[in-house]
Amino acid sequence: MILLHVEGLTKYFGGLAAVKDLDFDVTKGEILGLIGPNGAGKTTVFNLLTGFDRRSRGKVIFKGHDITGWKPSRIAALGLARTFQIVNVFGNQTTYENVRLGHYLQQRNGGFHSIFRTRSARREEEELQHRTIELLERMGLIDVKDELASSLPQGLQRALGICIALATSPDLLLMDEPTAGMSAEETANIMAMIQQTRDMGVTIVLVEHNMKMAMGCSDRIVVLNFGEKIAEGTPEEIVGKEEVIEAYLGVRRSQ
Amino acid sequence: MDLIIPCLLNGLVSGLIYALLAAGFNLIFGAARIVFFAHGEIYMLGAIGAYWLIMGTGIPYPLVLILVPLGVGLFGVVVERIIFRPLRGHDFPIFVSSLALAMIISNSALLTFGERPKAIVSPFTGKIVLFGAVLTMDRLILIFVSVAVITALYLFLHRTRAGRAIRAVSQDAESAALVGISMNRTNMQTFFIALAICAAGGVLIAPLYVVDAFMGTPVLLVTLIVVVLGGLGSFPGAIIGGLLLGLIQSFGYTFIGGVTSLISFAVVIIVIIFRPRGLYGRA
Amino acid sequence: MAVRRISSTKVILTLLAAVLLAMPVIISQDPRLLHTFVMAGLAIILATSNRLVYFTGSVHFGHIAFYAIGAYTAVLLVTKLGVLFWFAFLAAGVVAGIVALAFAAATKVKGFYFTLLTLAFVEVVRLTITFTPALGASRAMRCPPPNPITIPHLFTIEFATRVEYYYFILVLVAITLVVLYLIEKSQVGAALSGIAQSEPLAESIGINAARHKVLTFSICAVFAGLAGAFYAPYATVIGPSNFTIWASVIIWFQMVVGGADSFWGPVIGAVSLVFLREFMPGTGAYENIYYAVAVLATLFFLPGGLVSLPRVVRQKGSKGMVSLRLRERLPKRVLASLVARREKQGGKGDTASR
Repeated sequence: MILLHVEGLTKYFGGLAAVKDLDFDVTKGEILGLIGPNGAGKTTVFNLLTGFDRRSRGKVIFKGHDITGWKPSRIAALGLARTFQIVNVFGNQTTYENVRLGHYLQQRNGGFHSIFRTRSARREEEELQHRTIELLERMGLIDVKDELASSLPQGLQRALGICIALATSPDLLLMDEPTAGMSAEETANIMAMIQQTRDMGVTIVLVEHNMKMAMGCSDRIVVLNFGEKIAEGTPEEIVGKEEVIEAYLGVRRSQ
Repeated sequence: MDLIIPCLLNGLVSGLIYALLAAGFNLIFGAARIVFFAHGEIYMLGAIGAYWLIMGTGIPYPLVLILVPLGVGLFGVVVERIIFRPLRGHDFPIFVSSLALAMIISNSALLTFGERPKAIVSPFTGKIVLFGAVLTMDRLILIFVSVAVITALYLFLHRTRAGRAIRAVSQDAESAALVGISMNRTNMQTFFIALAICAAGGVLIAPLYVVDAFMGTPVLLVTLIVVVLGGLGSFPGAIIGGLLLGLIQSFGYTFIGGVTSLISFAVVIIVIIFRPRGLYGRA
Repeated sequence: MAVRRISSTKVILTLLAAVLLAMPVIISQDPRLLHTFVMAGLAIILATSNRLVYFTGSVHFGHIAFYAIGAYTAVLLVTKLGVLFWFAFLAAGVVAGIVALAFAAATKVKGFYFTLLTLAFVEVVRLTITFTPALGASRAMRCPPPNPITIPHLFTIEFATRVEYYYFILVLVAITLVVLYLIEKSQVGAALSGIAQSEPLAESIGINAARHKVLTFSICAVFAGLAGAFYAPYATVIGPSNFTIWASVIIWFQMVVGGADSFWGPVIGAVSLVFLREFMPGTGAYENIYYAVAVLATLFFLPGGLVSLPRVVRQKGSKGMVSLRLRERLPKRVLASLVARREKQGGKGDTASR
């Protein structure tokens, strides 16, 4: 079933089209890779999908709802989560507190109940505490749960960022360059985490600059260049395509 | 309608002072990213300094016009060195410090100067009549000197090396540092100039009205209005905004009365909500 | 026989409560001291409620405006409409909250422009009072004391001396502190802290940042309004000169001196500065200078505020491991774990603070 349907998505910054007439679908359960050279508009697409930027034209349908113009928090409440390239965590709080906060959407008795510690709130708190610990264990972050998030090394911070997003129990997770600036070992860890996330039943769209990683992880790939889709298909299909090679290398192979 | 010419003149006079103050404020904000809330008190220092020198000693006015801004400028350098430089990078403590500084200056002035406003016996006699309105000598001097200072400031910022360094730091402090421009030096110069100009405004206004220890706050608030209207950090914004506000206030107070101040602030709120960057500010 | 362990905090709090309740007797109803306590209580309410807004990431200099709105609402309702004081008191809080709601909801600006907006708002309120004859214009407005509280067959509380006001403010402060503390330490508070640290991240996990900030702003304004409604009858006269921008600045000074990053900071700061002001020599201008100097001293020598004093003194030992600024910001348990990690990593040297 189609979880996310993007149609004619366009964004102009002044006179320049950062994203132009983008169409693609995301099927439930798959990992879709969104790749392209720097400046191709990948992060802009993410911002448009998650409500952090307003589209100039086009439609985005998520789980049957048209999420045009929705605030990010509302989109998240529907089941679309994201990670960020930078500032992925709440630095002043511990790992545990970060993930606990990620469960914000799952709290039925928020606000008044939470403040005045009513019985229903306290019961819910216990349940959410368990879920937080479980998630931390599954993601391998349980050892650092009492560490201040800002003191974690970069690899763990990224993992924490993913963990926070997962705490919202999303149907679809958009990941913005999760392995940027990482060593090979850290990258492998993240790749494993992505697989684990898929096993949890989460559909993933992955923006990646690292070709090898994107090809290795994704079931399907969409290639962007200058804001437009230039190719779409499985990794094997994409690898040979001339447009893709041109986009990255900027050189005509024939002649 | 013989109110119009005096209104225009009054507006011009106060507008020029506002322009000076706003230019100084924007200089500090632009180059050092510091919101210098003690600005009004510096103006008051200039006026009080002028009062003391003129009434207490026999120093002639032109000399006072040079000495007081110079002294206050140096004070600015000291303040920058011991208060703002150590705090550089921490915006919130810097902001609070400038508030504390303002409070210290204004209350110290209150203690030494006293509560009652005092008048400077104007060192000038003589006036000219222009378009049916009377322009006293001190007003004329104010107009000439402020225009001269504004022009000098413009030339400094655009034609001299130090001025261009300051402008570079305003645009992009990191790149400026990469090119070897020392932020320590530009900040020092910025504070000196901005505070000197501000004090000069106080010296110029002193013979026209009364001097008291409370004149700082309303001026600070007006400066904030001008800076919002004209754009934070912008030199042309400060000048145009200052003149505009001077005229608006002048006509406002004459035809509408004191409510003008209330209206000015309401306008500021509207501007901040709908177009925070004002006329010339950065987005 | 089972012995129940009683937490030391509870003991301290109980003692404190007992002392505070008995205070008027302890100080033999000395009017000057009672007045100081009352003013300290008002300062605590203003400083802690202002701080919760800061906790969500906004620098808000307009708190005194809501204090004014509360005061004038109460005065108007009592004098012009003959309303019972206690209703007027509650109404004052509600009005302040509603105005705050409208104000915060209307503005989307952030950061420094928001601060400017709040400053402008203070002036607008002050000038509106000054130019509205119904509000007394620039002269003072008189406010009668609160209506007596009568519990039939038991006693009547008349607000004739400062003692009654003392207990009134004590109750108000207790309620304020309890509510604000509960908010901050709940998951709502965690959400607010998240918003302050990274609004995009908070939004991405479903926290509607705008709504949280507006509601928090409004709730804090309610407390300021109630404080104002208390102040009006206590001071018997109020005028626009009570509600200037510098009054808002004083609130911030109290927050900073006590420690703006901690819940108890503003409480300590407010109490210290109010008492300092009362008992240091000189009045008026000198008081303000003390405040300002205290603030500068705090910023330079104790950035975490008075509340961080015990921690700073204790941490002198582990100086080499963690940089000064970071050290003063962290709560104890976190700092201990950080130091332990650093030691494990073999003392890699100072981290640049945030």
